Amino acid sequence: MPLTENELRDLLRDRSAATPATPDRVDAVRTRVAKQRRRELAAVSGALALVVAAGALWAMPRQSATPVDPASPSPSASPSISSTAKPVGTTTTKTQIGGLDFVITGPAEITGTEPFDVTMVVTNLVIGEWTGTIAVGLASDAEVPGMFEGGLIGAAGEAVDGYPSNLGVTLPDPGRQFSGVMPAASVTLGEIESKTWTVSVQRDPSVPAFGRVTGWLPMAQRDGDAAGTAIVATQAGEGIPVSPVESNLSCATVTIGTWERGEVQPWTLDLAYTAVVGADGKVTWEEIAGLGDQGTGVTSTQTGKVRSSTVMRALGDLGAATPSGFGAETPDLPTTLAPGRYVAYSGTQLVPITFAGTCGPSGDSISGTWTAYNDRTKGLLDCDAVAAVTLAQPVAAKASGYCPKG
Amino acid sequence: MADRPDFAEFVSVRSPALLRTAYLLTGDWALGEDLLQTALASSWRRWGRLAGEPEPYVPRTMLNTYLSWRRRRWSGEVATGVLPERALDDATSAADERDLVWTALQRLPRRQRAVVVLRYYEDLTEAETANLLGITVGTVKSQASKALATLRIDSSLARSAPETTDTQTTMDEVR
Repeated sequence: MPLTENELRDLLRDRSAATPATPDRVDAVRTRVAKQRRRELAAVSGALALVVAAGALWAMPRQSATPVDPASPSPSASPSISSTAKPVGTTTTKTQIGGLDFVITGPAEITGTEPFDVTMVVTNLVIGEWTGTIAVGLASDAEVPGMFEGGLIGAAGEAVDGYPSNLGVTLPDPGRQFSGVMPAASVTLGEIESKTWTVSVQRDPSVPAFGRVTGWLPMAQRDGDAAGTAIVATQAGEGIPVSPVESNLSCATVTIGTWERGEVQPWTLDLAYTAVVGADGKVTWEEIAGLGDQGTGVTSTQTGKVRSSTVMRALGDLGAATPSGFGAETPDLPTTLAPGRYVAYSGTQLVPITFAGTCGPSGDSISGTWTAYNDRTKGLLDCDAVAAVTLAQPVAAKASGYCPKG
Repeated sequence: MADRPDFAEFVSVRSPALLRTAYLLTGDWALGEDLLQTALASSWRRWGRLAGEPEPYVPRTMLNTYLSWRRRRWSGEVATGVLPERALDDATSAADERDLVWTALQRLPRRQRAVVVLRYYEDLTEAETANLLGITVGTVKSQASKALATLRIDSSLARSAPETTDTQTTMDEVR
């Protein structure tokens, strides 16, 4: 059953209802502050001791310099190659996106599931301060086009989000997906300021193999940018060979034995935007809130140690489920329209698929229900014309409810 | 340390609610308490400059602290010998579904989780959420939209996650 906003509210309230008894919190805070002050005093004392020691060293009589033998070769500057030499097995990506310059160095090949480091040097190229989120990651073939279910990599060490995640990035090609790691929740760079981050990255051991992998790709999303403008440099990045590993899931592969399509559910309106275009032709789309959460998302009653995409791919291979992945389509929002009022919408029609099969390599039985997309649609209504026409698609009729009546 | 009666009063009145928010952010009561106390300790030191108006400084400090905490442990899938569970009856499945959504919530990127808690638990407006998090309304909208989409998708993904990722590893991985 798709999650609604009200269900989410109920869940959050229920979960936080039973507040545990707490000892005197004011005392606990006082203790913390006292400890912090002791640490600060210790640090200041240590620093003072260093200053005193340094002063003492400075005051010591210095030895006179030994005259240089004119015959001896003068020391040369560090070889220029040292600044460009790379350790064996690394690759460097240089690119500029979102007003930032990225130089990213990571391994040229991924083998096994041991952590490795990826370093990025980021320079702000825009006038003024740049604040937002950045990440580094890989693009790989998706198991099911348009569907993201865990990524190839996640953070192994200090990072904002340790789980394999696409960080909200959708690549133009639905057959490809981004998985990345953010080094900080938010970064701020002054004008032409450079900062360096090194993140420890680890391969997701639940994923046995992926197809084409390219990296290392930067992601940048400046605060204040419009929704969905996380930018990934999809063109940059060399191919990264990734060796297959054994999945750590007890149900690493799925073979479907039997399956049955249930009754197709009614069309639901997932997303709708309205725009009123004035005489100046300016088009500003605004999402309609409170649609409820009808239809979006795909759920399954399948439980156990299996990736959802593994089940979906197995069903898709049999023609049982649409391979179009998760999520409602985004309505097309034209940038030029004649003056008037418009509604852009998208909708879905779901169908439950019950199945039974076998896990590999364990041979365990597996069964469940996959709620797949039977169909998806999107469209654009001209409110001045919609009243005069008959809308064949039920979801379009629902969307027309957002046109003014009369 | 000097006594600050108004601070004690603020802690007494507001900290139960702040603790609930901290719990929803971290997914763990002990970690939530740690987060709250960290924020309160930071606020205590600036109490004199808050001129008796600690709102929204304290919640904002708590959110910033939460967003800047760093994970230290890999928390992906781990091997298990447990066989896949069988299908459950409807009532159990409904409870299970909420557990899965809760687990999926823990998997959200932190800023998205913060937006979800502020918008759907605190019932703050988009503008109030943006103000507390120091981001734009547009970012609040996009983060909330992404979070909801992920929660709908990830409740099934969470089925394959080890239960320890919900709470047991959290204490270790976030400090």
